[in-house]
Amino acid sequence: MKQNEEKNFTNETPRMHFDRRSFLKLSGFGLTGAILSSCSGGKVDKAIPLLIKPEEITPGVSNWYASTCHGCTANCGVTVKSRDGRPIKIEGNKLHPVSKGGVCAVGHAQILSLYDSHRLKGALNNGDLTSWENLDTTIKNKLEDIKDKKIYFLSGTIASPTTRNTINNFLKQFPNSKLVEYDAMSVSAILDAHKENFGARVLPRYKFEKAEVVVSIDADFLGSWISPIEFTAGYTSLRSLENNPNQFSYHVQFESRLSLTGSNADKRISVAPQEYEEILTSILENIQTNKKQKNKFINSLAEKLKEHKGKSLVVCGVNDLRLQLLTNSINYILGNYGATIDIASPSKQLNGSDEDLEILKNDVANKNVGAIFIANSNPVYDFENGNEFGKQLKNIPLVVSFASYNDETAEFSNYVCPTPHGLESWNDSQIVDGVFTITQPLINPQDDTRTIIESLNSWTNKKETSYDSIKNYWKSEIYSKTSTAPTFEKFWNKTVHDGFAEIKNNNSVRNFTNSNPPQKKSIKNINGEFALVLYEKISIRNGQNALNPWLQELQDPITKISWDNYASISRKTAETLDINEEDVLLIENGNLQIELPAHIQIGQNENTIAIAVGYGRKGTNRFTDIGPEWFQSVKTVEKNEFVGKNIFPFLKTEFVKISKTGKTRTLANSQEYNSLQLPKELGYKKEERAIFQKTSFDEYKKDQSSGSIHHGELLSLWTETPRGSDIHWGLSIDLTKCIGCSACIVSCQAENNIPVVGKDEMHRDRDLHWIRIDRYYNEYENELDVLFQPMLCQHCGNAPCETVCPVLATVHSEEGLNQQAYNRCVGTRYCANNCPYKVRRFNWFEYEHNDDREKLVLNPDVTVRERGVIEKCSMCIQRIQEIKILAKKEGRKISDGEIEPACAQSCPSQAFVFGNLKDEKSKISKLSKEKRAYHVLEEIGVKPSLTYLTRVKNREKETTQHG
Amino acid sequence: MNKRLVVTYFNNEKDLLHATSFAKKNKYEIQDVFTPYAVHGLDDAMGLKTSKLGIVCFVLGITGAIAKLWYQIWTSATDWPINVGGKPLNSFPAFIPVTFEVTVLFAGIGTTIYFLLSDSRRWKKKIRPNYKTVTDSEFALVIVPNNAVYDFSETKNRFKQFNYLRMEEIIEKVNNEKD
Amino acid sequence: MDNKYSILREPLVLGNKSIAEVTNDIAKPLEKKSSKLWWICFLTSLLILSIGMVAVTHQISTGLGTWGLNNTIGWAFDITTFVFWIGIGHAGTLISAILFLFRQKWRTSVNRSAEAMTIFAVICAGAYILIHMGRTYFGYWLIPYPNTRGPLWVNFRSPLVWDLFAISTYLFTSLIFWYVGLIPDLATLRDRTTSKIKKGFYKFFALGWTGSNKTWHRYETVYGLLAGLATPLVVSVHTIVSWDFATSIIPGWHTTIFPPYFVAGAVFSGFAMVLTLMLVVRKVLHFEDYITLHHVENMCKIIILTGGIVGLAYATEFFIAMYSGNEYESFTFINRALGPMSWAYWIMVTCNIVAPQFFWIKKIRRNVVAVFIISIFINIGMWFERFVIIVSSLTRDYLPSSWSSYSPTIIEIATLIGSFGLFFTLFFLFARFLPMISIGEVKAVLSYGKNGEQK
Repeated sequence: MKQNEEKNFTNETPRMHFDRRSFLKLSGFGLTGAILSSCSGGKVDKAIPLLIKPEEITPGVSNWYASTCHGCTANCGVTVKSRDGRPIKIEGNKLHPVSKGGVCAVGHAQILSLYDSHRLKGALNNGDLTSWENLDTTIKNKLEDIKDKKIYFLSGTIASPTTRNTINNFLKQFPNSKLVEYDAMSVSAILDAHKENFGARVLPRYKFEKAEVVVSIDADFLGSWISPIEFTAGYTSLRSLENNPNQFSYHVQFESRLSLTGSNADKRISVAPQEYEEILTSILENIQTNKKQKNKFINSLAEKLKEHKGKSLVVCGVNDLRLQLLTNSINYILGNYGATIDIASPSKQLNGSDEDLEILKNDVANKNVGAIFIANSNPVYDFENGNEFGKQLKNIPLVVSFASYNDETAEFSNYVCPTPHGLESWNDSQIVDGVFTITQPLINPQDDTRTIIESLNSWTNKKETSYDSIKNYWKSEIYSKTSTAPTFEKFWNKTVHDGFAEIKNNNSVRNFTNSNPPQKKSIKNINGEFALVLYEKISIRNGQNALNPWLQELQDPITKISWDNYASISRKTAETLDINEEDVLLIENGNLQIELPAHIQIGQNENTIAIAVGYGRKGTNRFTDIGPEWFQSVKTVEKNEFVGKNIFPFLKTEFVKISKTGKTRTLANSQEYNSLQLPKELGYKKEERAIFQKTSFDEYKKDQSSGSIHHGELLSLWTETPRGSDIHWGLSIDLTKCIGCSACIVSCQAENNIPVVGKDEMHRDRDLHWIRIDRYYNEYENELDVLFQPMLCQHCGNAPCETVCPVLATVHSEEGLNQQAYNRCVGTRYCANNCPYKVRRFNWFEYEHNDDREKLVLNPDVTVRERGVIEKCSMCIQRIQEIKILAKKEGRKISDGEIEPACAQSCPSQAFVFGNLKDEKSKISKLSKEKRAYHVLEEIGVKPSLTYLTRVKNREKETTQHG
Repeated sequence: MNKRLVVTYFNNEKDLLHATSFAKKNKYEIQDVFTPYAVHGLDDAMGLKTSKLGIVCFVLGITGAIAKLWYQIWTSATDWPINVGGKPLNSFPAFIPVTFEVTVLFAGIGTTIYFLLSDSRRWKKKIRPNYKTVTDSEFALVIVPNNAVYDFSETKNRFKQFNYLRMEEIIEKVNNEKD
Repeated sequence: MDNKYSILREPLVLGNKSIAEVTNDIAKPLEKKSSKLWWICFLTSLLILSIGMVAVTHQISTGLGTWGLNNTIGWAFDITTFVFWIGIGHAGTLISAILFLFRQKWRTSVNRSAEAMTIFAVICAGAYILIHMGRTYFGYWLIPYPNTRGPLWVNFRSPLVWDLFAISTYLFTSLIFWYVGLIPDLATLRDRTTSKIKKGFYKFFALGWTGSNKTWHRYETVYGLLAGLATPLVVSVHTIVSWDFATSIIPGWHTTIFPPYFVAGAVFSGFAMVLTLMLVVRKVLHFEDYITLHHVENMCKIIILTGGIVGLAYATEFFIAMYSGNEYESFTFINRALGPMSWAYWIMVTCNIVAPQFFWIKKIRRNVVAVFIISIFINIGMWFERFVIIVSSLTRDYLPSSWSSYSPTIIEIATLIGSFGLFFTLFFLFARFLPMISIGEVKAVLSYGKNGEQK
């Protein structure tokens, strides 16, 4: 086998600018190239067309390969679409036991980061490029000198068992060495709490699919907490009415800012962080001693919890030992351990330890560290004392960073050993105890990079590629533990094919030892000060993805603001301090100061301000040339400025003062009006448009059609003649399941080559997203209800856009789709005006990628639109055609659910269902006949092909006035 | 062969009108009358019949209408039937506006062109009395003395009553063409 | 002299002119050197035009994003101004055609320049149709010509195609009508002028007109026919323009009252514009004797009438919106009057409903300055009418999530100004080289309103 690999490749130095030729070269290269190269050991630099065509690669036909997402530490299972040797789309792996086929917005965006030409081109020696050989020798020599000094390996959570193993082996040679893991947004307290209670420092695996009552204290488990996709799937499985109509979970959220999770809760209570403890204690007291608390709601909640012993779940997102211990006790008493909380096979997704980190920090500060290796993390950016730490690194003889960008930390390191992108190299990970996944590369490393494993190997004089190391490790450590497969090769191939392997583990259930919580911190709240809440946005998260334009442009599902972070303050605060939206505030605590624009946020607790981390990343100034330039255009960022501000210095700050600076800063907010209730200032009381139909679970049980308003069949002005084939494509969206996570938006962007327009254009309401998620606030009896409604082309039967197009650029297909012929469009925008849903998008400018290499991400099945034409959702017609052709070739009918538009595929909660409405047996036609089914604006008689299903929440009653 | 013409100039429409009808009565062959603006009653005085332009206009209009209506139905229902907004292929009501516009276009332009062409013959005429003044302020009556015994001075006397400005006699070269 | 005038009817031409004098008065300005004043006017409008050109160049080369539009508001200044110009045009045709059929003799001294105004206005409107497209250079795809794409025809159900036909027909018909009217006067000029070049020019375009009555006879018929065709045309054109909105489903656009409403509005704004122009021309070219206060007054009266119709339309719209019980419709109108864009609405009401009421007073009708000012107000008001209909309806449509707001960019404003530049440039050229008043027709009505004979 090795022979014919050699045949295919020659060794020459790399060149990676993408003219047509080298592009074709790459095409020929393909996936086999990647695999073979990584087995071959010898570095394969230049792509030349394959002499022998591998049978699985046909030009123009895309292949799917299982892999693992490295967008965050959740490591969801994905399948990657490779076309002509280019990976062009990431999607969920339906077989995957943990993520169950969902991928979040961040995951979808990883495909763009793959083609980011700003990644390091090769190893750096004090800032300038050098060869790996030189680097290795110098590092090895240095290591010799400082052998017995203290040596640290600082890393973000390491999910990869092989990497961990390699690191340990590497550190073994040094007597005085230590591996320290930490997480920028730490959950260390949870692990510590479990160490106290169960004697094992583990992050439990929360089983939301079993929790009929969920109580969350500031844990944004649907948005950014530990493993959002996994939790979303579990959470929504108990809130899906077509499966089991009489079961519905009850979710209560206590939080200070309006989080994605909170906005999906059945009951959301806005409290200041100081009050969390009281809430937990009173719940605990009640369920322990049945002692009634003064807070009625707490009592009723405690009752519910007691009714659902072993079927409930209390989670706390605050990184505070005391709170976590309380949470544990509650869960223990409720018998949730072993039921909804699994610590026998715990999660490995976050593993950081604040304790170790503190020790490391002190050692670094006290200059008694010989060498430090920094991987999967960016301490100089995300430590509260980042810059200081950076300066201290200067005193350490050997600082090695494995960053793949020349980021904040790389700046302060002597040597940088850039690591390849997740899809460029072999890797493995253990998400939870018992589930191992494989990361399969789909393309040869585009830059001269090396995985951590390879670097460490070469420093321990092991000639082993990461592929070999991984395979060996799996052989010895993992395969040995399983007896499912006869031979290792069989096991290995199956794993690579599926992307994961499940291994039975027989850990015994540990028993609970009550520990007395640490002394209650005296929380002082001098009035005039606000509790500061730092949170992760679903798009930028902890800053790791800040360089990804798709994610920067993705509107926050709650605030609808993109391209910035800001200080969210409550309405009351705004009134008392007379702050307007976009006023720049000075936020300070002692000598810590930062200036951020204010955003007035409904649902924000009045004693708190919330700020998203992950902004102000070095390198975001490259977005200065993103978006169109014209007479009155405003740059997304100035040359010397970053997107947003870095708030990590405030990480350990609890309270801040705020004051107006008199400056203002525009925020790109893409939704001007936030309610379905008509403006009060025009004399409207509670009239509400029946666009978003909702009901409560109780009412739903009584009458399945409750909450939905129908206008009956409208008369037609002409005699309807049945037209079209035996197919009518339709899409249904279950508003009960949709949590607004926005994964569909990025998925659509990747599938349909939707360009990035930049902050100024977003601010001018000219985003090009084909699917958007409308977010409405519905306030009643001082309750806040947040409504998420995905809005895309409704493919109307009587499409108003078609009638008005003068040049027949948009017409109706035989299969009930509303089609747009870009090449015919002359751009009168009449169709866009006449669209009642305002889902048509106009190419106001020529939008170019601000990074040439990023053009490789384009989907060859979808036209790139020219300036001056209208575009819109095509229901992923290219996917429909692909399957139709396939079915035709195989001489069969298209089976139901075989075709999935990008949005439907990516949805972690399976809120979207696509199919043929004319097929009686299809899922879609069943759903569209459900009592909950309705069309948005059906009264205007445009006959949409999209069906929405009334949103149900677990409430006594839903207060709704339809105008 | 040559043709003798007698041109009488007046400075107001009243005299002209009387003179013209007088000439008509006395069987003078009136070749034409030249005026600075359309004088009312002159047509009757000269005994001109109403022109056929009206019919022309009507016919053209109808042609346009039928042609356009057919074209619309053919293009949208026959040649390439496309489902547009679920409307019937032959959405007759929607075709009316364009049909109407084309009717007007045909009728208007057609009639004008017909008018210009049909008249061009007279305009191209080589010899004509120096009528400069008639586009300004004077009115000219042109008669062809047809009776065998013709006397210029006698004609002058007969028209004196209409206090004309002057009367001239001119010889017109006729390259045998009818009027 | 006064005793020469009848008590019943005011004469249409004052100063007791002879036919020759008429020719002189009207032809004089064309024969003497162009005045300083003319140069100033002409060059200013040319400058304004070029500003507009710069803006349009930037827009076409960079993209429509240079306008303040967005995903919700696809039309604003562009279509507003387009409808505005089309509206202006209508008065011209009305004066020349409809008043002709009604045998309104007073039209004779204004119809020539009114028709010119029509043509120039339609040209401005046409320009807007082109530049408002995302891909201007494919504008010709709206024409249903046989092509190699199938052939792929056009969508005859689309009001924009109706527009294309309506406006081109309107342009051609008005041109012909205007030209046919010009022929006799061109002949007159031909026979007067001394300069060789001019003579050649006039000679060519006069098509050898002699003033033969046999021609006059046909000529009158043709003119009558054209007038008869132009009359329904002028009604149809603005009806079709109004259908751009009426046939759509956007609340505030989807209104059956639009056709009559728009036609009335068009005539209303048209006459305002005629007044604005005439009052200037009258002063600059000393046509006081031809364009008399009598004319001014008549036009004021028409403005009162059409203004009234427009006012009624506003009221009806509101009533129907409320009475229909359509939640979207009624909201749109409440929002129009009280919402974020109400300022535009109230400008419209003040200029279109309040301003014309002053014309009930004869003193004001006969006071040139007052009339001029009011006419300006009406022009502004009618521009805002279209702005309100188009923009305020779009900003607040069905889904509150897509509600948005609009503010014009400098490019848009420059383009708007530029279109005025184009209009006036053309108008001043016309004033310089062609008779502003129909010589032939004025001569015919000299005796109007005088006892017995002239002289």
